[in-house]
Amino acid sequence: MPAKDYANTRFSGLDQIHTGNAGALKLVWSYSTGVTRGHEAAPLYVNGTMYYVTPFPHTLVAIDAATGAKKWDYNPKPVPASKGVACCDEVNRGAFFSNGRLYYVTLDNQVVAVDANTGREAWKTRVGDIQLGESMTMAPIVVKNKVLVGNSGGEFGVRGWIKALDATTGSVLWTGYNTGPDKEVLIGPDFRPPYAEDKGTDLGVTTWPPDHWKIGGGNVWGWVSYDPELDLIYYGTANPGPWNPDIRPGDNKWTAAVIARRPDTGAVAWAYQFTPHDVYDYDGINESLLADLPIGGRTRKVLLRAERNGFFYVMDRATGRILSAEPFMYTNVVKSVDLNTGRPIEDKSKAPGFNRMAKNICPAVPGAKDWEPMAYSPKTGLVYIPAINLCMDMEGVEANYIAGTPYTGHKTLMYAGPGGHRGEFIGWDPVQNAKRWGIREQFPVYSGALATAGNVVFYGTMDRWFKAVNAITGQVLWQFRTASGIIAPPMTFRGMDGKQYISVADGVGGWAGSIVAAGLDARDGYADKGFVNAMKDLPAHTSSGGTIYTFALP
Amino acid sequence: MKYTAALLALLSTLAVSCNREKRLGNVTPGAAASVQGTRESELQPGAVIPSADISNPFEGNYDAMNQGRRLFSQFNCSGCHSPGGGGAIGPPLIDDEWIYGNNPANIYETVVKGRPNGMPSFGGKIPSYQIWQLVTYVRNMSNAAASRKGEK
Repeated sequence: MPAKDYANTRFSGLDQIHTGNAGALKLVWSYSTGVTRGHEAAPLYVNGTMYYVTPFPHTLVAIDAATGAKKWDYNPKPVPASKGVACCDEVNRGAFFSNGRLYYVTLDNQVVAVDANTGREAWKTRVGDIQLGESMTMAPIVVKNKVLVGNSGGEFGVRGWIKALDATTGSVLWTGYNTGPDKEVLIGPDFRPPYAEDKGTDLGVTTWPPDHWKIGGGNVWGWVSYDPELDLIYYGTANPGPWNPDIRPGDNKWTAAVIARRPDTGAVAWAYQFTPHDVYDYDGINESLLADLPIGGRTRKVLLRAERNGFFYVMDRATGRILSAEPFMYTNVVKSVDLNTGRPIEDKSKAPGFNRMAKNICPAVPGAKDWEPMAYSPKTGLVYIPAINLCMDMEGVEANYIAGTPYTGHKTLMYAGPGGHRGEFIGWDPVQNAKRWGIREQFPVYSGALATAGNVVFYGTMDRWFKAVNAITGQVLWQFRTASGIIAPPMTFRGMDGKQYISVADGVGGWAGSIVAAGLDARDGYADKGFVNAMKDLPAHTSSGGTIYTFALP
Repeated sequence: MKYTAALLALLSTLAVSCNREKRLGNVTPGAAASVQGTRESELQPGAVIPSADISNPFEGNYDAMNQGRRLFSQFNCSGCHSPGGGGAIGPPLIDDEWIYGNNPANIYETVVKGRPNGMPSFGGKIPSYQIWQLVTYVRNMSNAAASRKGEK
């Protein structure tokens, strides 16, 4: 599975590659995917075969992991018109392997199941509609023979949901909406929110202007994790729509939240909104990393979140109560989180709106960390966070809802945060809430992190470096110049020959890299929702690309 | 006198629009179909027939350009192409690269017909004169940007 395990640790127990020999890593083979948009998926390895899902048209390719020889590919044939509703490049975050099949989603709202041996399609189910501005980009998770998937479209006035499909047949078993009446959100008598303000009836309706929840966002384009003992799946919801907050007074539940549901029925066990009445597009879709940590003298079952607002949350994953929330990057909008009420204490003077250009908001829209996933090493006790150091000016403008077209209503300009570096790869102690070390990067770090038992962590940069780092000290042990920038998570596997390999895909793009992948014009800083202003120099460092690299010790 | 002038104007308008709306009737076998819209490729097999460009009725009209600017935002063109035309989900409109051509009729048809890689089809949803206003604004975007070449 893309996250290594249900807990989303992205930690491998392999230790053949360690701090003493990582410097000797050599390229074994490379494979060109044939696509040159943003590559956001990690490769999957199963029994000698590597599988990769490319950006649109989402070809699933099977490669001999030892030699790089192509075995077969499968093309789900998504409609090209779906590219018109993809907010942030034509990406896909990967497949999930379960029971002999690979499961993934397409931009045009299909969920596909493919036989992992033959490449034949087992089933394909359409679950959304591009005419509503809906698309899908996330990596599914399969739990108890149910394929869990969610939709994208927070920039298109799409109502967010998570669905479970029968992994055998592809039929939809349940749909849990993230806005609207309790009956549709699947909030029932077993709902136990950790904070008093979330107790009430139909809060997914009453915290919005009339009927606005129907086009309110709260999408599910990030990661889903699972605790088999508690039998809970955890995922986050994206921003409320439109971005202009003045159009939607109210807390806008249940957007920008983390939600725990029962996988069998979808019933909500608990929910917590990181950002009520979000004004900065601080999506809550980041990974919920599950770990058992020694806190306050005993082992606590926690859920870790490095959030867009710059705070690192340690939460009790059974109840949703926050144990601690401390900033891991510079932030000037959220001052603290009230642990009694759960509410963030915000600097309201920084809120944008109609005729209100708020300046120097830190972090910027992508947050201190966006979807790019962190990793946790039980050996070092550290969490490895790929982080972004950007600030922004933002203003709210009129937004018109027309189904199938963007519904945002903002003017934004992003730029480097304090220090001038736009990214950092951080080694963070989640128990002490302290930064142990950080590697500053010129560009936002959009690759995921990989942690290994050899105490080597891996990440890639948008300016074409793939790095191996000492997990304890943060010293760079090895780096390799890839052909294009990296925005995907690396992975590691033990080959059939018993050797440990490291693989990663390059191919710059995504929202941050669209100036390259989509050829945007650097003269308009407001372009790409304000990202162009912060990435004008990216084309000087990289072109688009798409190659999978596999490394090993000689 | 006024009536005569008005009648003449009406007749000439009808004459012009009649010609423009003229459909292909019985096509003589062997005769070539003419291009009703506008070409989207410079490549023509055989001898080159000069393009009969449909011109923008609002070309050079500042009021039309301003209306176009308003419509660009109202119809959410700015959502995909960015308010300043630098591009995002859709390609930039301020540079000199035009996937589907930059003469007024090309842009008009892009808006009406949509394009295969994500440009929605607005045909039948907004009136023709508003599309020409948008065309006026969009063509002005790249002209304005060209004069700002080199500016950061």
